[in-house]
Amino acid sequence: MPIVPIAEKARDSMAVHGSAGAPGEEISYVDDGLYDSLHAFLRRARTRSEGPNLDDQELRNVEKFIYFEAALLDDRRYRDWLELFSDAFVYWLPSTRDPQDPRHEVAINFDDRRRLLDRITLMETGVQVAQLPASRTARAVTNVMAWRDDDGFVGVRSNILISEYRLGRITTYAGRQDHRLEFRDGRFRTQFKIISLINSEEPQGNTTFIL
Amino acid sequence: MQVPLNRPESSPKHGKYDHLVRPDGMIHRLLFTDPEIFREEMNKIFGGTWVFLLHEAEIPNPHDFKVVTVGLRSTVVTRAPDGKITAFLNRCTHRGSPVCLQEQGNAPRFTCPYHAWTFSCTGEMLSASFPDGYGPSFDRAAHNLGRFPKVESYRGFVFGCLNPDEVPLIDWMGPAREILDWSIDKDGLACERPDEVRVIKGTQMMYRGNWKHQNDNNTDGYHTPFLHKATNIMNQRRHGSGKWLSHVKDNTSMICQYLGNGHKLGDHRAELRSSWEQARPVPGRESEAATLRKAVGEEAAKDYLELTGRAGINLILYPNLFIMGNGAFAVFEPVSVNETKVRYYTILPAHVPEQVNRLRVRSEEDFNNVGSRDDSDIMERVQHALETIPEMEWLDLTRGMNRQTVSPNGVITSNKTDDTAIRGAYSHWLTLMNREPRTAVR
Repeated sequence: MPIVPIAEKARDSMAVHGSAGAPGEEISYVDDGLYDSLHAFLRRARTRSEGPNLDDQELRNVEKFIYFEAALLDDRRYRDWLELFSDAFVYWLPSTRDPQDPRHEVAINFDDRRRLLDRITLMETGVQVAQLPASRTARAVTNVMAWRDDDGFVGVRSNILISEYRLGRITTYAGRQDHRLEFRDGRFRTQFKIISLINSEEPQGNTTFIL
Repeated sequence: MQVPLNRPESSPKHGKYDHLVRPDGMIHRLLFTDPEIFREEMNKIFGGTWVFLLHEAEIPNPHDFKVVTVGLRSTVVTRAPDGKITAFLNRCTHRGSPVCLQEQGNAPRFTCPYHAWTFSCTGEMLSASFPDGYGPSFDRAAHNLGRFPKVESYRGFVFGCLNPDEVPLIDWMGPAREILDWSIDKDGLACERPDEVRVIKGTQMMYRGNWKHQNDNNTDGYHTPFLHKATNIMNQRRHGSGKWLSHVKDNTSMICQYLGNGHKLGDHRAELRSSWEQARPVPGRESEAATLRKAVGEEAAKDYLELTGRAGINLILYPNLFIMGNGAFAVFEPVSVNETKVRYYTILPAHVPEQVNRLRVRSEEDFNNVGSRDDSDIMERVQHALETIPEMEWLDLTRGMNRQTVSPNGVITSNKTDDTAIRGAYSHWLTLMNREPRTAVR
């Protein structure tokens, strides 16, 4: 499985979802079907009893993908990072210790493409006070395990440690990540990304950089 | 007309803190930086008057409990089988251990983890372990947990007060009650029985700054176009014009009001045409709305959708409750002189279609992700400046003194961008801090 981090058709998904169109024309693809499959993935990720089943080469490719994602975020290349996602994706940071159905829980972040583009646009204005100066981050992604599920998707569990530096202070965010990857057109794409911080239910500081 | 608003409402002639809150609208930096003043606030404000504890729906069942913080005091709020709500301080009468280590749950009794003294859910002492060591004259009732002398619920919102001499809740609320009623009635949140609504946890934030910054900021209608410039630019680029709040000018029919007893209101209803139309789009907006329209019809759906998003009020019940309407409220939790937690909650009525509540959940995440962090960041920077620059002592809260008006009921009204409401809250701060409340547990 070759990794093609930046798709040649890079702008396609953006155009499909209207971000290149007139303001206000984007439509959210989040519906009950997507919620259901996100919820099912969460439950699956939390209850796996069998060991990881990808072979070494497949796992290596998954690791490259996950590490590359971390690098793009550390480099604040958010538009490039967005291209690692499926057309219809969800980026979710639950605010509960034991997250359940996201329809019924307020999250630290619950972003579809439209909302994530709002947050990225906010940073791109250059006048967002909470990112003046911008956060600098170094992420360590470790303990990567991956499963190929019956539905053909790959579930990846990893640990993440984000050190964020801003205004003379280093803040640490620690947690686990669960990715659901689809393999399409020769590369992985993230359909769901769930970051569960070890202190997810606690009041958080300035999380305007993207975890 | 000019009103000498900052004269203490009912303080002694020379109150202890008169010199820090001036009648000309200037307040001193020490209010935000002095640990001794913070300690006094925890006793005289959070111990001296009514404080919001929780919403009844957070403890709907008999023996439900939740631990909250009153000032800095860990406090257990319980519901008895007869429905009565009790608040007691989370400290064993024996040797001071917390009797409850869980944050929330259901328990008919509380057994102290240290020596197993056991108490009922209303705080009565039931038993001391190995009682022979205390002899037959041991007076259990003298060892009841420290219970709040006053606990009252107003339509689901539960307040407690450690000062037995404070006025009844309804008098304390004063004109603020009408605004709360408006919100509850509009929202269909009338909570005659606690199972008519659910309350879920929303965004939880912390910032390194004094608790009063947040209290001030939530009725500061002046900063919106400036501090939130990035949000307004993003709104425009991403969603076109007309999204809330893109359009604040000084020439506005929106107002702020000082309602007495520290309570205040930023009232934006005059220019909020539609909560739904002016909302930034949340994930699932289109599909939830389509399902709703299909289920209840276009007309009814239109009304239901107005129950999501911003409601047009920022109501503060001083010192710690912030009500935004459409189900959203927040509690301010001081941690130290320069650290504060802000806990948001969302009320979900049982009688509305599920789509309304799902949209409320996604709406709660909205501004906290694309705006509120600018507020907390600037509050941290203000805190730092106030702590490190002693040469400049005063903060200016004079805006609007030249144009505010007073109603017969004492409510002071001015332009949305004015400091009138904030100034009022500091006059009440002075009243509370200059008096010596009797705090007592029963």
